[in-house]
Amino acid sequence: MSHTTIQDSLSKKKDHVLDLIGTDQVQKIFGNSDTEAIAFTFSILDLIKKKSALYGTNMNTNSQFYTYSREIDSCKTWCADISLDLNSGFSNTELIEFYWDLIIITELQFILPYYLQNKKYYYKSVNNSIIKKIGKTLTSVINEKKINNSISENYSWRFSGLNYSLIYIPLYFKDFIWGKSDSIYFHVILPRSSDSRESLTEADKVLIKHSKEWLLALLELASDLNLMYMRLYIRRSDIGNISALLKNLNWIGGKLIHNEDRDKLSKNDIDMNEMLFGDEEFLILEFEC
Amino acid sequence: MNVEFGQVLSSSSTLVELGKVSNVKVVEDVTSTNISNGNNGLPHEPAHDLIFKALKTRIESINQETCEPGEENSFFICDLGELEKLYINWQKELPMVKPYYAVKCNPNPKILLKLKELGLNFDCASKSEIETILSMGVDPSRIIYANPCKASSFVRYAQDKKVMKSTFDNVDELYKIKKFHPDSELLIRISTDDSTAQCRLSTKYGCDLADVESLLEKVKELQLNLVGVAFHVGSGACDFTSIHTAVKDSKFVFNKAKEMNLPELKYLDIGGGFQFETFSESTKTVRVALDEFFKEEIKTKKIEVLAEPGRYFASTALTLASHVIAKRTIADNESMLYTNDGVYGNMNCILFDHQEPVPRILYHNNDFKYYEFDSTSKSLPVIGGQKKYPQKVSIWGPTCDGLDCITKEYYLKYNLEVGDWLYFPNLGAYSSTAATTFNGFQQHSDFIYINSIEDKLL
Repeated sequence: MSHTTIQDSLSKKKDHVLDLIGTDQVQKIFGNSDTEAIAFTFSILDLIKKKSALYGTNMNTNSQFYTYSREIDSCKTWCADISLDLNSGFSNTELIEFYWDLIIITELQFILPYYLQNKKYYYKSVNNSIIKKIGKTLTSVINEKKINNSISENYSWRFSGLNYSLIYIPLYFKDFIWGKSDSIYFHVILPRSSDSRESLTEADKVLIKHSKEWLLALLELASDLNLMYMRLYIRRSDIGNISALLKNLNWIGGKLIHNEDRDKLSKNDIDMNEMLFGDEEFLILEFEC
Repeated sequence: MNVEFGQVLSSSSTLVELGKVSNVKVVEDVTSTNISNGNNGLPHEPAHDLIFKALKTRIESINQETCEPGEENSFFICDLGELEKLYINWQKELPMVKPYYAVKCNPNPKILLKLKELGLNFDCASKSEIETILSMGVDPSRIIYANPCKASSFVRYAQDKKVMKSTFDNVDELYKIKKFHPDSELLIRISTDDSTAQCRLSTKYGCDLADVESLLEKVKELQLNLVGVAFHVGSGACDFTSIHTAVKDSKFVFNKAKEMNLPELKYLDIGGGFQFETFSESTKTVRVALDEFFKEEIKTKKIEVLAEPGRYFASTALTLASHVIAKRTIADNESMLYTNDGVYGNMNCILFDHQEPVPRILYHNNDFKYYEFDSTSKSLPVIGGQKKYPQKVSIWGPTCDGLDCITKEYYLKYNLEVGDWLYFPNLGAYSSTAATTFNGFQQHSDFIYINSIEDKLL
């Protein structure tokens, strides 16, 4: 039996997401020169096959595309784009599979690098752990009960999101930006910008030069999603790419957030699979929305 | 008669020399220069006796055998009297400029309250900063919202809280302001030459002079309320000619607005970047520039000049004390010292503000060494064939992270051991604000307050 690494599974899932999201409609959006970014968000309630479970509640399950562009004589804004609709092209089962892929990819951004390539830790157990966590959150949301969690609220990236997002800002990021949110925080994980750390690539330079533009795009999205704070997760290997942002962090109201104290975490009674995850790979910045 | 700037430069060799120095800021060893050379042109000396008394009292109160976890944490001595002295000096050097303290530099509540009592206004960069200042009972008219990267919600918030003064540097912001805060009093932020600054604000923010006309056209078209011009030469700038150029450029914008029949501008915001060590030189340049370009407007009170100082007020007010928690001997007279504070704690300014804190020996061999200002040196002078500082050390924070380095090379008079203390003078700017936790070392910014004007511990 050959063991798949988590990295392999992650790549496959990303390809799958790309296949689904890269519809002709979406391609056309970027043919429109005014559109600078696109985002897709959905609620974990969308994972429920029988929507009848939600009757009588005011819970919104509709997945939604947003595009970021400048209207004539206006500032750049995110607008819900109803012309984009995955429901028409795919079956409910395909969509649910797609949602799960997005969730798992987002959650796996926090897996520690050691476990990413290591075959000993099978993808399956991590996968099951994420599914279990989402299931627990879903149950609590439907029953309108607060989840009892032993993890500090300060490290809410460990909680499953209520909504998940995929953001694409092709001018500045060649890869997708993964995001999830609870009712307060929008956790945004920036993609690894480059494998080569010896010198800045042209793409890196663009990213540095336009940090205000992409940061504003993300802040506006977080604000439109009615969230209070946005937390940006930047891989420590990419710190050079946000140097301008860091140097001006105080001026733009951002602050550094503590990394998690893993020693304290291990003392708590948590799922052992949780120990495969961590935030130490990231520099975390927080902004008000 | 206007004074020619060239004349001022030639009459002030300090200005020329400062223009040549590197843009890495060494936290000035104000203490030792003061002691050995009088006050060396600095406005005043640190309150050594009171600072030492506070440090000594705290350290003596820590019984190392029985202390609770955390009692040996690093701590700050904060001199609220220093803030008052600095404000008096500000009024002496720049009486025509109203300071709006940059809250981001150090939002310690007692510092903010003291500055409020002194009558300073505030420069806020975030919603929470505005909230903090308003909760102190400060009128919104005393706030400028100078965040150069405002999302729509920020503009809405300013409108809601009646914070009127705000800066902008691009068309997109103007549309946002038109939509959410159309009565806002706007200052156009122009870019400056900030190449010698520690933190280069213009690298990212501020419009080019070439874009001013189109922005003013847009202001006119959208019927917005333009009230002034703002610039910022960057935090910790050391070439003050950029201030002169920026004031000159501001005058260009004032004239352009007049030419375009916009209402007369009434504010000039000269930003921040002021430092205690170079305050005399930088303010001299400001005075000369204002005299050259805005003499009449200031005299007739047609314009109000404001500034956004942060570092000038916060830096010298705070002294950090930190404990040696581990030592690794590399060779004879060479070691690595680990302290309980570092770049992930209260010395975050090393990473993000390019500061180089100066370590001083505070406590060694059961004895306080505070007044031995020459007990450490960045370089190794050899006097009469003898090394004056026999101990070569690198100083590290507690996290075992490669970035957590306070200084790679320093020379000490004494061979420090675990349990000894260091102190770092002038560490109030952008330090405790950004403290974080890494690898499990909690950082609580612990403050002991003194007032050197009243000569007492608070």
